Amino acid sequence: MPLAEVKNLHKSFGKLQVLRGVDLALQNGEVVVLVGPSGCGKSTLLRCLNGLELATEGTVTVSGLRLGDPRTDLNTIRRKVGMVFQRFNLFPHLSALENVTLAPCKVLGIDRAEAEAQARELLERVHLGHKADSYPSQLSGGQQQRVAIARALAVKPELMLFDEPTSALDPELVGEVLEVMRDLARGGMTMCVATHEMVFAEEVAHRVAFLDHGKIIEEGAPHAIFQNPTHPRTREFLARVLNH
Amino acid sequence: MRSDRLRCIGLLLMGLVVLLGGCRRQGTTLGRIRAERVVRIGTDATYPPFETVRAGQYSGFDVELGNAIAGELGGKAEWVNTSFDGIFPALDAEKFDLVMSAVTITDERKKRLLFSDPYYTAGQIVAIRDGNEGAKGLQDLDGKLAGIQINTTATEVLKKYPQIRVRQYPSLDLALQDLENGNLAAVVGDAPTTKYFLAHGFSKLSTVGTLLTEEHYGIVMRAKDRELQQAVNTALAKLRADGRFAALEAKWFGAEAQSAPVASGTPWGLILRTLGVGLKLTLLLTALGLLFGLPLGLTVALARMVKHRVVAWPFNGYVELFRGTPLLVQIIFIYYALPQLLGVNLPGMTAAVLALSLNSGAYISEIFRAGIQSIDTGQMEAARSLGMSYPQGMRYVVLPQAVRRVLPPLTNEAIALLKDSSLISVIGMAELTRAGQELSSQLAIPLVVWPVVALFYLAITFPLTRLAALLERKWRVNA
Repeated sequence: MPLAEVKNLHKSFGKLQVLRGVDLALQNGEVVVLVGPSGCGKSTLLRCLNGLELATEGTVTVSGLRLGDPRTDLNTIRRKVGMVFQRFNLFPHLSALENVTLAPCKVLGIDRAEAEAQARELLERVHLGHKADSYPSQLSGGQQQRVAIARALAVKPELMLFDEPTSALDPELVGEVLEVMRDLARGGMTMCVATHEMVFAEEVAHRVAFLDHGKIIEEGAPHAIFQNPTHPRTREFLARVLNH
Repeated sequence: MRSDRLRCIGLLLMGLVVLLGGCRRQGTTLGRIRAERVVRIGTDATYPPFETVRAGQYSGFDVELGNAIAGELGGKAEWVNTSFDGIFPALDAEKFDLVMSAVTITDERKKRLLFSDPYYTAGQIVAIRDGNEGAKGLQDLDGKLAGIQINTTATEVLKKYPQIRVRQYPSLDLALQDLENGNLAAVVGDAPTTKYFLAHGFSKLSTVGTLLTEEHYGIVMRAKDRELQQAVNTALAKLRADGRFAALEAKWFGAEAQSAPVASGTPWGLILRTLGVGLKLTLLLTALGLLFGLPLGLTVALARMVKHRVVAWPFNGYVELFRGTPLLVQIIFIYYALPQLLGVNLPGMTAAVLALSLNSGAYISEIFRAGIQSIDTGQMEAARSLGMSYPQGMRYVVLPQAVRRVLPPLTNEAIALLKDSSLISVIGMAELTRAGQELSSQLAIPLVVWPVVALFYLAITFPLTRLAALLERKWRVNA
């Protein structure tokens, strides 16, 4: 059984149809990269996977639980699904360490000392052990995004969602964030990543899905998609992105 | 003499009281007085030589006469200090049994209140600056400016002299001060009180001519208390017959009283002590107003953001009502009219705290709502993505940031509340402003009293703003 499964997913905001019948399955340990032009529905698809948005039509299932089912506790789902945002969304009133310990303390009920020990470990893992006591405003964009990744990992998710995690970063800071994500993928984390970083996609992804106008129009192994795109829109998009 | 300043509010409440007359308590007032052996008398103790209060001790002609009448009725007088604005609504709301506050008997008042037989004959008199010998009376003041206390019977007198321009003052001592400062040609005021002020504080002023009107003071009772009216008249007659009444008149209005020595020097001890007591009450009222207003405002702010309109609606109504009406009207309504609606008598302190909390809660809720809405939606999304519930996200992520952001407007609101608490004086509680009023009229030195009152307010607001600035600086790094 896949860890997460999306079937015939439709999502509309008022009259605007953003997703128009998406099917996608994520197996345990799989890294799937979503590519496609801005506004194609990548973000909305990710937000449907952790219940920030609920399906207008179709189903989203995460580890056997259907989202939007009244019997499913969304808070339980979200604990299993970590999310990393384009604009980091760190809590500015808390230090890096407190950003990471907040959810384990309040959601998992872990005691403070244990949560702190675990948080320091996670910050080490994203190479920010020395910034534990800094506030977000004192960190660079790349550092903030790495704290955000540590924060998401702190509740021990089974699936990690990345919503264009490097788009808001200065180019020289992109590498340090991708490095952390690469480590994570190597460690066996199931990941779904919306990104324009094609090199990263080619290197790390098990599968690439190309979204256009709310539908997945092409899906397959990265080298197949990047070397031999079959759909004309995929070709067109890749030509534009790769020439940059 | 003085008449009710907020006449329309009074009439409005009066109508309400009549409407709700059905839920009045049973039994006659006189019956209650005899059973409890206490006569509660309402007065506005800012009117020497009739009534003043100093450190909780009431004195004056009305006060001693009231004590004697209470004795005749078979009880002890309990004085209730109430601003003249609200004194008749308070009588109707049964906050006390009688009003003795140098009240002139007028036909209009007789329509809705009972008066005793007249006990004092007074009238309006003209005061001018010494050396202004040309003016012998109102007839010499054509085209000049005259000062009066707002809505007093002096208004009626001056209607007969349309050539005189009139300027109104909240109290007689302030009008006299302006006369002494040279901004007025004359002041028309109640003779005994004007003379008292001139003897005690305004050495450059004197009265001219004779009384312009003849007015009679009476003791005021509720319209239904005919039995009490008879008992009071009997008591008055007895006091007149046995000579006690004449003795009181001699004590307070005789030649000796008029030439009472002017106190030398400023009584700083008394001023600081009296204002200190007022300051304590002001602080207490503000602190309690904030103590209840803050959680109330926060609750209302959160409730108004609920998606279901039905839940938000009553809270929207609350905010509209309390932001859209004057605090003064709210205080009067809660103190005088609410007890009629609920059938329970609210003590002044409870009514005051209730009014201040509800009023500040409405403003504070809007401050919080603006603060919460100014926090980026990504913050709540990040919290929810970590598995936190909406309340957890609010409590640990959104609210801490919102509070930091709204600290400056919250400080403003706290200061506004502190100053607005002066309106509580309308229900007779001697907070700082009212204490200043009482002191100023008693000592006839407004120019000394009011600056001290201002300094007392500053003494609270200044440290408060410093503290807020300190917190703001501390939070700036991580906000």
